[in-house]
Amino acid sequence: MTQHQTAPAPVAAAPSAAHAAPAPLLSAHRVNVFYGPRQALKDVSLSVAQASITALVGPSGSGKTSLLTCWNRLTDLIPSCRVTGSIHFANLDILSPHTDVLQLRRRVGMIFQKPNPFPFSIRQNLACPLREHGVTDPHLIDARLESALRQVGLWKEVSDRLETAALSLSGGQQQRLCIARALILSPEVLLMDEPCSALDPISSGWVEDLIVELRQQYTIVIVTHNLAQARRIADHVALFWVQHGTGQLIEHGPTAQLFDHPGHVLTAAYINGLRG
Amino acid sequence: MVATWGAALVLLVFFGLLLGDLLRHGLAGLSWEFFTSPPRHAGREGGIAPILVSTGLILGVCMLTALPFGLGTAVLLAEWTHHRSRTGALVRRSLDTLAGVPSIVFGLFGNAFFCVTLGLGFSIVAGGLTLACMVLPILIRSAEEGLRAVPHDYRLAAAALGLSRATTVRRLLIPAAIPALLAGFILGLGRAMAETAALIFTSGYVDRMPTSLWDSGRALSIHIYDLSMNVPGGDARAYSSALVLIALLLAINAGSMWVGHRLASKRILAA
Repeated sequence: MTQHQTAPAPVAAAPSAAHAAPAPLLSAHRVNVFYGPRQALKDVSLSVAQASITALVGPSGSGKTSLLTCWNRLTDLIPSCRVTGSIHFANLDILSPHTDVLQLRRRVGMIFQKPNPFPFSIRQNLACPLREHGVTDPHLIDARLESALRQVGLWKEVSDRLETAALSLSGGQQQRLCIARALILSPEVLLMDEPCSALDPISSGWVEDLIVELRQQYTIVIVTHNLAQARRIADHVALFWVQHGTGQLIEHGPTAQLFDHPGHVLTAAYINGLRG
Repeated sequence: MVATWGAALVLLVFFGLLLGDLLRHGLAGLSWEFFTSPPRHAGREGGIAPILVSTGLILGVCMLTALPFGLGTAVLLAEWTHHRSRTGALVRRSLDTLAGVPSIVFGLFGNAFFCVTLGLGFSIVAGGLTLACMVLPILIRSAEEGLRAVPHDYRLAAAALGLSRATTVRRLLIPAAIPALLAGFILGLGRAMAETAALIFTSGYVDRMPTSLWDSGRALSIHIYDLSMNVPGGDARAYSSALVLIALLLAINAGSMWVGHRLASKRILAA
């Protein structure tokens, strides 16, 4: 295995500086996830460099999404779920009971497989999380709303109908709105759980281009079943596999290395389409 | 297939007979004067103006008290207790039992507690509060079902954005559950409006125009009961009053469907 298990690093000053010498921003060390008696993820250690895209690939049920939801403690919402090991975001101990989960989730945004805008207007979808996190000045809300919509390339399409229902947008637009809704909180990390798989090919292409653009400013961890997509956009790839009924990390490394010189027989089989 | 259609037909025929009977005997008595004047000669003549006002006030007190309690309990059950937790199960079992308690028992309880113990006497407040106890189970259960039916995606999305549970409930779940809340409200309102037994001992019989909530007031259903049972020669007015009651219930149902439909068509609510 090629994953590096560095100790959690302090927050790097600027993404540009970090881009030159990527420091791990997210880390998981010997993480196990249980749903009731069933173990979904076994002994996973993985570090994610700042301002990079890390793709988690592998067959269904191999624990990719479970790991993703550890980093924003969304696992708390599943009553029977238990997580052990140590998980860090910069120098913040995510699993500590003293961690301010709401603040953590502001800093670590998440995009889901199915676009899930709230049943409100476009404006309310973006203003509601901002207000919750203490931004109440209407001018500031408007400014950040416009900037978030511009970032996802939606401003021109919806600027004249911000009051219409978000659910009346097309699937691709809804997903970009969800990304804008995450971005408006100025997160440092974006967790993406198959963000393109519920979209048509054209929308999927747009969202993929957007993810690549976002790499400049955010650290992105993306779960994808699309190996071609992982190869196109990711700096690092981590392959998960189901062994003895539980998900495990098989191999982790730079994209080119993993695809061209896989270190594990399962990786070679999976990327050649022989297994999985 | 034949049995299904037959059963539906029988139901329609009975409803038709009931409505036809009411219309035949009651329609002639309806006039502007009937709605605007007080009853005379124990209700054999005159109208139902004070009775409509009392009914409205009793329902108002009932729903204003029941709604916040009902919504609060439903939120607690749906969002803060686990689906199979013992507290939740206990509360739910109690509510189901309460929903099955005969209304006369609620009437006696209301009389003992609100009229006597709390010293409210025979009053619109006492009647409204008694009805509130009665409709609470209906309100709570339908609101809880409504909240549970809100797609889990919304809760995940809200949590992932760092929204607190209180905000999630207030800004997201309650608005998304409005159709179900409305349905529960209408069911409760309908049951409260048609209630007789629980009001006899609490809001009383007095058919004068109430001047405050602490006055006794006669609800429409009690007026019908009194005219048909205790007042010889009161049948015609009883029919007209019953027709008004039925019309009000139908209007409330239609109104709520219209509101629900409008909200849904605006897509403010959950798709």
